[in-house]
Amino acid sequence: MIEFEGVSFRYEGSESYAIRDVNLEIRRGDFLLIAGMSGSGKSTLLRMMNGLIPHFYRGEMVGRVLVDGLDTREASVAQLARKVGLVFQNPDNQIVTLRVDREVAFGLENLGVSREEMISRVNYALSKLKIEHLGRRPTYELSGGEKQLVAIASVIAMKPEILVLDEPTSELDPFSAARIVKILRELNREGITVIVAEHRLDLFAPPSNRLLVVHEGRIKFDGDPREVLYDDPYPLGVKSPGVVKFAKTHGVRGKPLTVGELLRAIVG
Amino acid sequence: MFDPLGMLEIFRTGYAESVYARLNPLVKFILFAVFIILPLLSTNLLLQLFSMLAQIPLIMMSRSGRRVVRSLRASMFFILIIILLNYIATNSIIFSLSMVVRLLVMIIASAIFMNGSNPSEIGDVLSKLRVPTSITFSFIVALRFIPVLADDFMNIVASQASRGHEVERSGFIRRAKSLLPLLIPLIVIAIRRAQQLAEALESRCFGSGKRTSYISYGVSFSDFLALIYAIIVIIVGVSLATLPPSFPLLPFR
Amino acid sequence: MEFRVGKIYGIIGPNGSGKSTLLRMMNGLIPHFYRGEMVGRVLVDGLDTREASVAQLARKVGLVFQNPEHMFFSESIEEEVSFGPRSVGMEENEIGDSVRWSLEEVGLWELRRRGPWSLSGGEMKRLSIACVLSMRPTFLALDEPTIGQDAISKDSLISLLRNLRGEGKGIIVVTHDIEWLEELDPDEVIVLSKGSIYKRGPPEDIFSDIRGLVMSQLMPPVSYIIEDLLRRCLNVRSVRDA
Repeated sequence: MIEFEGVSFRYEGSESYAIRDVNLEIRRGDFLLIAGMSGSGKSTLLRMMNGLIPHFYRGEMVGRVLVDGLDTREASVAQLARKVGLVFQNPDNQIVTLRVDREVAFGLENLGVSREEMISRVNYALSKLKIEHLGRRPTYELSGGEKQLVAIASVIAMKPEILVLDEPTSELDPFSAARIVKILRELNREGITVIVAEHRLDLFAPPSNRLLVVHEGRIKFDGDPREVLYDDPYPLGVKSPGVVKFAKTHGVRGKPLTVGELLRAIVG
Repeated sequence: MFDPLGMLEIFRTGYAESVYARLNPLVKFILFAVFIILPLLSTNLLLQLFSMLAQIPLIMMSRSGRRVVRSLRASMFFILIIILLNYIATNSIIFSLSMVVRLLVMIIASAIFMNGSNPSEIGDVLSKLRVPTSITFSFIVALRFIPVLADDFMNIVASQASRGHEVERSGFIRRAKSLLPLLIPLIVIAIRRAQQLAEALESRCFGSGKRTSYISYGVSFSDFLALIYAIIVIIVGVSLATLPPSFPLLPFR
Repeated sequence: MEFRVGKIYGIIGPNGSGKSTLLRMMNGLIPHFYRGEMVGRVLVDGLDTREASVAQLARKVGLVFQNPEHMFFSESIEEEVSFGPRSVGMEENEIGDSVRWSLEEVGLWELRRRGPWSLSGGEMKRLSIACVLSMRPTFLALDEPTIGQDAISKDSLISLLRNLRGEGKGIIVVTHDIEWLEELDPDEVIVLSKGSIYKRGPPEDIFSDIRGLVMSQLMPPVSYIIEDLLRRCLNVRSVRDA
């Protein structure tokens, strides 16, 4: 669905490459977790998936990115945004209207969708995110977690096949974060491809089927999360979740990622 | 000490449920426009007084009584100045009064409009009036971010205060300089927010073509009545404005 | 309650429990900047926060806020770090030493000529700490220092706080990152709930009270959850048995 072919990118005004020689193929239905230190290139990678790079951010791009066959250097962000929805880190800086349902409808208004269709899609998105009760609330009254849910809803309303999130929970408390993981899991189960860059591996590793570790602009690992998390990824700037640490210290087998799996491994 | 959130009050359209509030926003805007333009048609005191009286039903319909009184009280200072200046300039009490009432009419019109509309409606009206999207949009985004930036500012003040910073009270230059640690972070943060907002909007296809509207406003019987009322007011107003100069109570030119 | 130097205190609690309010009372922001009704008093080294000014208290309690960008306005890091000492009236000859010391503590001395905004997220966080350290307070209070930070940055934060404790400072951290707090291994953990102290004590005591934490809407550290479950499900005393 998304293919990176020999991609490198250097931001205008920067001397070093933000990402280098990236070859990547993201398949339909993946729940891809991208981990790595701040500044490792994760954000750059994500912004290349909907065309923000190279259209919104200037720079030098080598190689090409194909989204369902569309070359991101030629297709516009608007075209790509119909397939790839991007959710960002800061809950406030994505919300532009004064009421939740208007916010969710915003992207649809931009697309010129008819009013009937918009109303049904807004209701769809609000119910998928389980925030129907927030529909008529003013946006400035919401908590950080609620705002992020609204941000995701407003992207989901546009019915993209791929949902990309850049550290969506980094500014949220643990409970709001867990709520978001739960929603993403459900969306993925319903067929939406989910790509998340995150530091909270304890929350995001369990639902993911694939983990990418980015280090200094290069992909240093691409595969089963259990493999790399049990293989000391610390030199790459990634810290394994507490469960892994516990399992390794006590010699538990089976490479569990959650408390449930750990207990099952111990009890047998 | 600081109350930047108090500034919000100006923009808080204290939306109170009322008959007026349920009108179609375009109709509300038309009523608002009528009472801004009408008093300007002439300096005729009768016209001004009529305009003010014609707003009374609207004040009642929008339950703006308290707000109107507050606005008037706040403008007391200006009212007195205007009476004084005009009297000195023209030596005519009637003319001065006329100017004051004109101002009052406009203040009342704003109070009614603000009390009965919410910002989103105002944004919708602007776009319906074919105001360029960039302007309408900037208006809504500004309203959306005022509370956010106000919070940012509070946090900046707290952060800097925790470093021992105090705003100088004496000396213009010293005062300005002591505001830098508060203003620069605010500007940086505002720009960063704008930047992130821009990429989020881009990612939701903003500006990519013709926009449709999620909200639609119906037209009801009350809207018809309101428009008829507006027409009557205009007709009476225009006739008052075009009265022959020999009519009593008109100021001398 | 009391906070002493040479110790690290962790304050945890659900949203709205009053964690941030507590911090703001330590350096006088409450009651000087945030108006309201205050009952009781807060003494910092004998100074009553209702009387002493925030600038005076800043020399005793350095409060580090969540977002470093709420502070930065200077051309160079060096200048930025000197702002605090200058504002609180430190002697000119002392300021230079203080700036150097605090930048070295956080490992940013080499970058002192760069602009504050040219730093990475983790570096900015350390710079914000340096900006407060340079006033040489006896206490350092941090409000959610791990938000948005990556693993490396969070680990270096732990070493920094331990160093500072070793140098005799009192450290107070408000956080919702329980795993990080467990690793920090504070001397005391205080659990706030609905504005009052629910429980205080050494981390082992607090973290092993699984039920109490969950009822206060908090998540205990994973290792404690596991030990508790094992103990209860299998009646084992230590994991080695399993």
